[in-house]
Amino acid sequence: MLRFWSGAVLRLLAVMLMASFAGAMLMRIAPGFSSDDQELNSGLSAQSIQAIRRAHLVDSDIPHFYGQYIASLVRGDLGTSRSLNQPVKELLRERLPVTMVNLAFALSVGWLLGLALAIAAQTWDIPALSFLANGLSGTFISIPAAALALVFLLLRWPPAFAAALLVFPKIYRYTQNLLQQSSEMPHVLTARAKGAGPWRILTWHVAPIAFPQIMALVGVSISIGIGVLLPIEVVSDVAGIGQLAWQAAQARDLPLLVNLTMVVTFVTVCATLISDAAQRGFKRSAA
Amino acid sequence: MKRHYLVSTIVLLGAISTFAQSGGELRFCLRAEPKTFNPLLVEDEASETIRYLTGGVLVRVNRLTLKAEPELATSWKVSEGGKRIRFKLREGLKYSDGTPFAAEDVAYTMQQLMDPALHSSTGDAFRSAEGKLTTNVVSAKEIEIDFPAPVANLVNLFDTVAILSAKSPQKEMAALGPFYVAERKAGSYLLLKRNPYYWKKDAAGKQLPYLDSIRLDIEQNPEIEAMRYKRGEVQLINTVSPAIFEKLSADNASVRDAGASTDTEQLWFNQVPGAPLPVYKKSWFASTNFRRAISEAINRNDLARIVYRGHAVPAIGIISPSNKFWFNSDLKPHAYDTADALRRLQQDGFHLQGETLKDKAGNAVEFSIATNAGNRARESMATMIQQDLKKIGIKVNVVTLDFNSLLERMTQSYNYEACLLGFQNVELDPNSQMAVWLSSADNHQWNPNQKSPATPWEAEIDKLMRAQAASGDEHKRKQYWDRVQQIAWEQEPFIYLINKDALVAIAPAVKNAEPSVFRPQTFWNVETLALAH
Repeated sequence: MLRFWSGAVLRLLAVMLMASFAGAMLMRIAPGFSSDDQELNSGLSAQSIQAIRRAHLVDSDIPHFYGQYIASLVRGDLGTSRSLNQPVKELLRERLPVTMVNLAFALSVGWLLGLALAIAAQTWDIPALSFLANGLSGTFISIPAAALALVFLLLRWPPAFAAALLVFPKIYRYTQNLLQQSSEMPHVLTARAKGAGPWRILTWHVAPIAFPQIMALVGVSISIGIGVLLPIEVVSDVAGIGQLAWQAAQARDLPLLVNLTMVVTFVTVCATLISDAAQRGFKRSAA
Repeated sequence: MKRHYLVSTIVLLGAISTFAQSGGELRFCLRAEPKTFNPLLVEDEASETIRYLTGGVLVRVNRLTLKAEPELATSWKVSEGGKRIRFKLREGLKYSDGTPFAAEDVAYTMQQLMDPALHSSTGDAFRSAEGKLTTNVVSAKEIEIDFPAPVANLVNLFDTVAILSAKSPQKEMAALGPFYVAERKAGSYLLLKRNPYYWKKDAAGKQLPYLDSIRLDIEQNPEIEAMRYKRGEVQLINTVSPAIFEKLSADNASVRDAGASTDTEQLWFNQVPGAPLPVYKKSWFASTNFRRAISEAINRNDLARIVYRGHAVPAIGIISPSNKFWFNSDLKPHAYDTADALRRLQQDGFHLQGETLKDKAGNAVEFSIATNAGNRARESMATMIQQDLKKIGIKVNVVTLDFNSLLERMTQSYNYEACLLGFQNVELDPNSQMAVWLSSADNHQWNPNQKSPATPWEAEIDKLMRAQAASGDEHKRKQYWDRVQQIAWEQEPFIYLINKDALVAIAPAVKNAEPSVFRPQTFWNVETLALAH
């Protein structure tokens, strides 16, 4: 167990470092990296404009920037946002909880809805219910996150609910397929032939087989949740890290973007690790 | 009995009017989070709004009369040809935290502002020559400030200098203006509350401002801002796009067109000698005839009518006619005349071959116009210019780039042919245009950072700009500036297209609003704004 966790932590650190370095490199080669809209400020003197340009040059040497960034990170300093002129630590402290609360809501509702519909469709063989569940998931899987966010904005509904509706189809489809496959296994068919009720078949025969794979979906669903939440935050003007990431990308704000990449990587990899661990634990106890 | 009723009615009306002019929370949006609360470091519009609402200044330029009016200073005197200014200050004033205000605060602010390491555009506006500024605190209510060289427009420049407290523990957050920042939720909103120590009173002796607080919601999307305005969630919009203006107008929402603003939209050709462009194209762009022909072939009336839905006027030159004092009224709008455009081009050896214009070497005339992606008005203007120039055989390709990419091409790689952008002219004085019109300046966009002027007309502009900056005589300065406008009109290094109108939205509940075409359009008189209950 200790070996698993120490290996996992090392993997997590390596992935975070690689992802943030890749993010920094991509930002560096993006056009317009070394320019600043203040250069067009006709009120600034030539010396002030030169000072702005020099400040940009400091960040343009990525290995140097990254080395300094890691050294500061070890001291607990995440640097200062170039575009918002605030310490990145403060920005994350203010914005991260907003995104995390929305993410938790979106995942809870998405999972609840997806699981409930998948179980209902599997347990009770009602065509209308299957039609409704498939129709809903098909609709929400094909709507772009930004478009749904706009509709929610007009209706004044919470943006996190839009994210939930975009997460739910993936949960529903995957879970429904798993339950379907599990329910066609020989021992389940035997139990059904012996007259076991649908609820007993689900809880005693189908769920134990499907559960480890559903656990794997937990980690993936967090990535999906973050993926849909970021554009929703931008469209709905939610002051979370999605909006921050959009601003950072537009302003070529390297310190902010590198830290955001770290955070998103951390959350995603941690979620995958936890679901892996849960899966392993479940398999071990089943064995 | 009748008299008794009359007195009662007057008292009642007075009470109602006082009540209607008091209290309440005004709400409007900022398009971005303020980058700083330090009034000396303000560069962005959101920080400028905070500075305007919270900062106490020595003089304030009235946005309707454009005259400097006393604020913290009761009077002032400029001497030594514009090198020295002496202010007499109001007594007994306090910052929002109760710290007393004195002449030392003005000295402290000016010393901080003029620190070259600060790189403040507010400070740079005072920097007319090398050397140090000196302050002399004559008494607690009098101060003298000496600049190393004459500063043009000296008094009005103090409109943007919010006086910091030298002693307050709250530092720059201690406000001398009508409001102070009371609460802030990152990325979400700012709450400004009435400064309890604000010194100004209305004619009836009631302490200003009338409003209790201002809530500034951070809202990046103008469409959402308009939607919230329609719902009554916000009561002001400072800048409305023509499309949203029309939409709000159609929905019977209260919107106003305050008239032509000082902002300009212009097209220019890249004339940088080292630009990575074919030599023959560089020679087109350097030709006055070519630039003037392009200008004549653009139908500015159509741009104003179609793109801006009538809420813009065809531009004449550098200065908008709304800047009444500095505008050269001898200049007339450039005519839309494709025949004359072709005549000018023929003078340079261009000729039409079929429907294609070719230069004397036989190269087809084709160039790209770069503009910033996401600005619908500019994208539409570029498309209309493309159609206009097609009529004289010129093929135009429209390239939209994100702002930073465009900026990099304009200022570093010079890898563009023509550019369409707009300038916000916040300052009305020509001195604010030094960084654009001096040939050595960074913002001399068509050919920046010249070691010596590339053309005789640029050399003449350099001379005139320096002369106006050094002169303390406003009428002489006007003469010099008129000549600069004349040269720019003749040479057209910038092809000015339109001056857009200042479009604002003010809810009927907001009383005493007098929108101006100058920033901040809707709340420049914030102390007297009130909400009807």
